[in-house]
Amino acid sequence: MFQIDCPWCGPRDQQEFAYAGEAAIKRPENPASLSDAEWADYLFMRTNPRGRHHEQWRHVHGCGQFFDVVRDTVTYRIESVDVPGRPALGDAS
Amino acid sequence: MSEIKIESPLVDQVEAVRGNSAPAKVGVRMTEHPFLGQIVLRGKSSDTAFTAACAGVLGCEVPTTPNTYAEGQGVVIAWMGPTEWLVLVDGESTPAWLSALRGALADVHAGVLDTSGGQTLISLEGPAALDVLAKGSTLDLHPRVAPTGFCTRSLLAKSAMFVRVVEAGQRFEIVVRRSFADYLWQWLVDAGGEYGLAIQPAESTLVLAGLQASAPPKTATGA
Ligand SMILES: [Zn+2]
Repeated sequence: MFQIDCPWCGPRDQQEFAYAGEAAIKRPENPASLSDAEWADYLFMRTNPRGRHHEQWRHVHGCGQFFDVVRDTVTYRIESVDVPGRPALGDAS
Repeated sequence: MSEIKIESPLVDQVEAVRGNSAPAKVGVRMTEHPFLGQIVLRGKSSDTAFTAACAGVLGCEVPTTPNTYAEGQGVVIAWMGPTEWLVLVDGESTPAWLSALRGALADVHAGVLDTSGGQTLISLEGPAALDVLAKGSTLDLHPRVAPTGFCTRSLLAKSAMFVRVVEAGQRFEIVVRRSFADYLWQWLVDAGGEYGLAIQPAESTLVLAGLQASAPPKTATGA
C-alpha cells in the first residue's frame, strides 16, 4: 500500500483511488484515415515501461477527479502528481 | 391506492430507531438523522453566473476550498469535488430548496439532483468518536489535519462514506448510501462497543447540529 497526493485533497491512502491507465494517449484526429494496425496501436498498445511511467489515477472515493501521476513501476515511488493534460516525462507532444 | 411510506434504511435496526440502554461509561454517542434533504449540486465554480445563482438561494457562497463546508441559514454546503457539492437541508423544506435552486439555475450550466432517499446520515459524538472511525478508515481525522469545517468522501470499513467534522475530534457526521447503511450501522455498533456506546433514538425532527429548519428565501424562487 502507498499514499497518493491528490492535487485537490492532498495525501490519501491508495485504496481511495483507482488506476486509470496510461496518461497522455491522444485519440487520432481522423480515425477513418488510419490503417487497422494504426487503429489497433491506438486502442491497445501501451508503453508498459520498467521504470518511470506517466499514468492516470482517479480519486474515486474522494473528489472524483482524474489526474496524472509519474510513478516508477519498479519501486512504486511517485515522482510527481499533476492535474490532467500537462506534459510530464518531458513529453514534447 | 396504498400510501407510500417513507422509511429509513435502518428501519430494521431497533436500537437505531428507539435507542439503547446507555452503558455506565459513555465514550461515544450515535444517532441516525433520517429523512434529511440531501441535494447534489453540480456546476463550475469559475462560472460567476453559477456561483451568484447558488449564493442567492443558499445565502452563502459555495465553498471552493477543497474538503471544507459552509453553513447558511438552515443549510450546509459541503465541497465534494471541484464541480460538486452536497447540500444538506431539513427534510420538510427539501422541495422548496430544490425548486429554488432549479429556478435560479435554469439558464446556467448546472445540475441539481435530489439524493435524499438514497442515503442517510449518522452522527457520532464523544471522546471516543475519533477512535471508532480510526478503526475502519485510513483517513486521518485528528484535529491537526481535520479541524472543524473539514469534510471529505472516503472509505469506512470498506463502505464509501462522506464525513463532516462538526467539532474537531469530537463530533462527526457520516453520510452513507442506503444499501450500505444497515451494514455500516452494525459495524459502528460493534466498533463502538468497547468504548461504551450510547445510541440515541433517530432524530426525526431533521435538524442537525447548527442546522435550524428553514426554507430558502422566497425571493430566490422565481428567477
Ligand atoms: Zn481528491
